[in-house]
Amino acid sequence: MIASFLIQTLNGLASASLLFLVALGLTLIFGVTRVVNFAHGSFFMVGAYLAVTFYDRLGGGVLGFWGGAILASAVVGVLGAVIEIVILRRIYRAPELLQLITTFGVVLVLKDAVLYLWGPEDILGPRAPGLTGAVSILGKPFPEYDLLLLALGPLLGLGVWLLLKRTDWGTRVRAATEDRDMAAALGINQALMFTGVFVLGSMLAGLAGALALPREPANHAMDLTIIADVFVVTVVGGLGSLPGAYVAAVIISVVKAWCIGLGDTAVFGVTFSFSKLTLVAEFIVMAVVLVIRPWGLFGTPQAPQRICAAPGHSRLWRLC
Amino acid sequence: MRLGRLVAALWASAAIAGTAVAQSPIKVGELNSYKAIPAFLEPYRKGWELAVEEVNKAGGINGRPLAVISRDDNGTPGDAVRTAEELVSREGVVLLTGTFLSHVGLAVADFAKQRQIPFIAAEPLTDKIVWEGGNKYTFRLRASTYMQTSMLVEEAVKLGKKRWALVYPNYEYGQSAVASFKQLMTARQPGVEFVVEQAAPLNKIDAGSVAQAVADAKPDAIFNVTFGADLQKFVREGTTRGLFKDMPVFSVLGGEPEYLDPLRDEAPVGWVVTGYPWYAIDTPEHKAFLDAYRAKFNDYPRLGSVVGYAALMSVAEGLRKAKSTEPDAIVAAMKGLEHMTPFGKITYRPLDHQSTMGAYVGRVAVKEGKGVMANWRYEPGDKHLPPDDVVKKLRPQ
Repeated sequence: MIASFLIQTLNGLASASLLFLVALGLTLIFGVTRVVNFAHGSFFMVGAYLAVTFYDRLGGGVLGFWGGAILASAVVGVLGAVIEIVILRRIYRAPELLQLITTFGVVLVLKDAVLYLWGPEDILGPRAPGLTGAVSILGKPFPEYDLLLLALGPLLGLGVWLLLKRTDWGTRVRAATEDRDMAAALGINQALMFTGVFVLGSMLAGLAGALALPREPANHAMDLTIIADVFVVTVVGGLGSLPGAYVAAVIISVVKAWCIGLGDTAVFGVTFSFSKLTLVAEFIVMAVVLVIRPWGLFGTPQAPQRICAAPGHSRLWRLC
Repeated sequence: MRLGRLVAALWASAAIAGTAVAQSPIKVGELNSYKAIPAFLEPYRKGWELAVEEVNKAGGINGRPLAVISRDDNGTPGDAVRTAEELVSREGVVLLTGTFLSHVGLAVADFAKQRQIPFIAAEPLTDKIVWEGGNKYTFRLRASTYMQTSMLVEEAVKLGKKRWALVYPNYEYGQSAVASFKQLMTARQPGVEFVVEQAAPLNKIDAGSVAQAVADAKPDAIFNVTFGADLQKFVREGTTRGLFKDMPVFSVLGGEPEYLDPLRDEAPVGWVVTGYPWYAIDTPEHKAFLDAYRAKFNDYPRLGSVVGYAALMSVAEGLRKAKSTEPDAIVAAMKGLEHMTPFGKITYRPLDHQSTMGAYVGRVAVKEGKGVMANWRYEPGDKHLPPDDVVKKLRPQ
């Protein structure tokens, strides 16, 4: 019983790592640009498909898997840059609804592109070389790769955190997250920074897609299924908060794993199906958190937007 | 002279207009979740395209060509009903066909009843669409969850396993299949226990946790209803965690090429599945279909191809028999309609509007690095339907 409980917790933590990497990118992008990027899940999907292709091209093995993952992440980063420069830059000052519709348009375009390039069939990706088996924890098998994921999520998170805390660029990003207009007034090149943050965020999503491959085939439903979860994670954790994203990803994934572990359990004489609850578990968590803390666990109210100093094509959107 | 020419010209144009009226196409509305479930539905689209081409080459429907107007239903009941409404009112289609997900199919079936328009559901497998929720205007082509489950149960009872685990996607199709499985197993093997039930959200199974929870319940055998990416995730996690070692598994749809092929050499050997061994069926009707399909698309058919092809053939044969495009005439023609499909002759039962199309049952094996169905046989659909009086009780009369 205790062993099952522990393994389910580890399952939850492994899933949380992937969710966190995607949510981290979304929350960074939102923090700086204030755009809720609906297409972020598509970057995750494209990352997975690219990683499969690179794995084959690089001849498989360790190089194929890890090299493919890094390459996939880099290409998704470039894709992110192109989308930011060509599309998003024009809508930073647009009403939120318009931003959502625009990024949703990007979702549809990328969905069709993936269908065109990789065909309709799901593609089962490679397993991580050397990590294909399971280790025994308290007498129960637990996949080696999941152990790695468990550690990789927080480690990459720590890396991004250091990048934000210890570098000049990170300081500027944090300044812009806190008060974008003041940062602009102090002469920070916003266009460059927005693109940079967008690239970093997309790279994290692409990397997560590549790292998801041993657990999930590259398939056409990845984009919308992950984005729904990731929105919940960022909202629960507090939009723009890095530790918040991790804590929220852990809470949601572990709660789901426990629900599955509990299965059908009698509560006060009535049998209740906890496994069915996984359909809505994350939304229940979100509702509870938002009632208690409307800005999310680690969130703070948004800084006001005072001026309309949009980078790039400000002529398009003069009104705030 | 001039007048004569003018009259001749008028006469000629009238003649052209006349033939144009006689040959105006019969419009059929098709709606499906092409963007949401492309693995099954891209081959499905190719299947019905081939059927339309064959029908029109053979002279169409009683002299009129068949035209299919196809729309995406976004995989949601709300959008599907809106799309169906648009097909009927704006495009003026004479009947509807298509849909994939069971809850979407049920929504369109209800729309068909309200709008009194014939609907030939191709793929949605829920039993409700012809039984509890059946109506005068709705027909269904494919072997239902009840029928496919019954085919697997026949094999399952031979093992005499007592403790069963159930894994299914948490929506209409999964719930319907599990309900049928419990009912059939309890009837055929008294004392059977269902020790764990895992209902996973469609496309979002936490496969590791589910495999762990199933293993913890220590079942003797597993009945699986998940398909697509969920199935592939479950197979991988279960294999890594040793769940499937010496464990009999019965899986609805597991042998369909759309879901089996991506697994390649990781296909779960020994699973008893329903599916489609296209590479081994040698009936003349299947061979004709296979050759035509390969010639046109330069690709092998998936199960979706057969369903799309057969659905459009049902539509064409129904319209031919009806000799009219009035809803009531089409419904009357569809009742008891018999025609050939790549799986052999099928009949739409007048009793419940279910076709007798069967399915192939076999065991998964790996051959040359690919998952295939071995020791398979064809199970005719009519063999796996409950007695008429039971169906009559289920279906609102």
